[in-house]
Amino acid sequence: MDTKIIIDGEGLSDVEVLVIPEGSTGREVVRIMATKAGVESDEVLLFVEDSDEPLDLDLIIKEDQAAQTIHHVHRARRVNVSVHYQNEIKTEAFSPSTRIQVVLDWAVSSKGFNIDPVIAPEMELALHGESKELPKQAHIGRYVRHPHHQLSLDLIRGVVPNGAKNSDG
Amino acid sequence: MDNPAVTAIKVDLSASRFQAGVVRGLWRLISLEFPVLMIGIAATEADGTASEYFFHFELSGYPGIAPEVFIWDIETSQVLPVARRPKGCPRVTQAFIDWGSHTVYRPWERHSGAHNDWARKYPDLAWHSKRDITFILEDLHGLLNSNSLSRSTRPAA
Repeated sequence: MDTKIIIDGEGLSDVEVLVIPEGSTGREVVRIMATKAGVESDEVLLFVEDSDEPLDLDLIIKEDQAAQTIHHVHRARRVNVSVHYQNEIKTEAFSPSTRIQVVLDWAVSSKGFNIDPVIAPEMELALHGESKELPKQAHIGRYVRHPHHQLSLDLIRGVVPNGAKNSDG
Repeated sequence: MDNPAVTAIKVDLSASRFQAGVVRGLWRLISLEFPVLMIGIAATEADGTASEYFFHFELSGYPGIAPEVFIWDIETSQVLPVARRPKGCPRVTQAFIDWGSHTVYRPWERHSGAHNDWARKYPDLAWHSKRDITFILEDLHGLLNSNSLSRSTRPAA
């Protein structure tokens, strides 16, 4: 029986489903993804979503494990993220498997820009110099290409489309 | 011959993007009885508790025609009363305002997107035939969980 594993990572524009034979190890996942990307597999690391450390590639990918999380492949172990807001820049190192949502949580928190809790729910992250809000479930490694383990983001106010009147008024 | 709209929504529901949301516990498929798709989306209330809201998608002409989307009471099979809709920042209250068409008030929605020149004003949020249902689910999930951001921070002492 095959195992389905959902993967995000370096060079991907979105998550992908990878089907691997039952009993495959992380090394097999890395080999397939490295071949697709045209890179050396011994450079590639395999992470679980939002985890700091890469997996041991000799461990078998179990069906129940694959069904409960998203994995990530990347050649970077850490990504230095700089977030710009008004005239300040805050930096922090994250694993490439970190979701944009986690970086946003950090950016609005007291460790980041300590955004007023009334305004915080309206904040989003965009690539530096752009205005398009990044998908919150995307892994930051998607936007980083080895050997440049840097990501520059802007903390922005999200769009609030309005103009309607209440139907009762 | 299959209705192309049925084929399109089945492709979306089997796609890795939709399935990734299921794996993460962000949303779940309740039912697909074309032209109606029902999805439950996880939410964070203002007090930090976890909850779930349901959405009724009418998909005639999908994806060429934008979905008509209602926030839904699945027990009564009616639009969710205003008093029970999500609370939060203006982005949230505007999205779930009770307006003329009673649908969700976002640029990707069939009726909302057709007024106020929204497709031109908000191209990143507007619907077009290359979008998929997960595009809408991601936007709704972000809105429904924006309250968690106010709990990440405190005013400076």
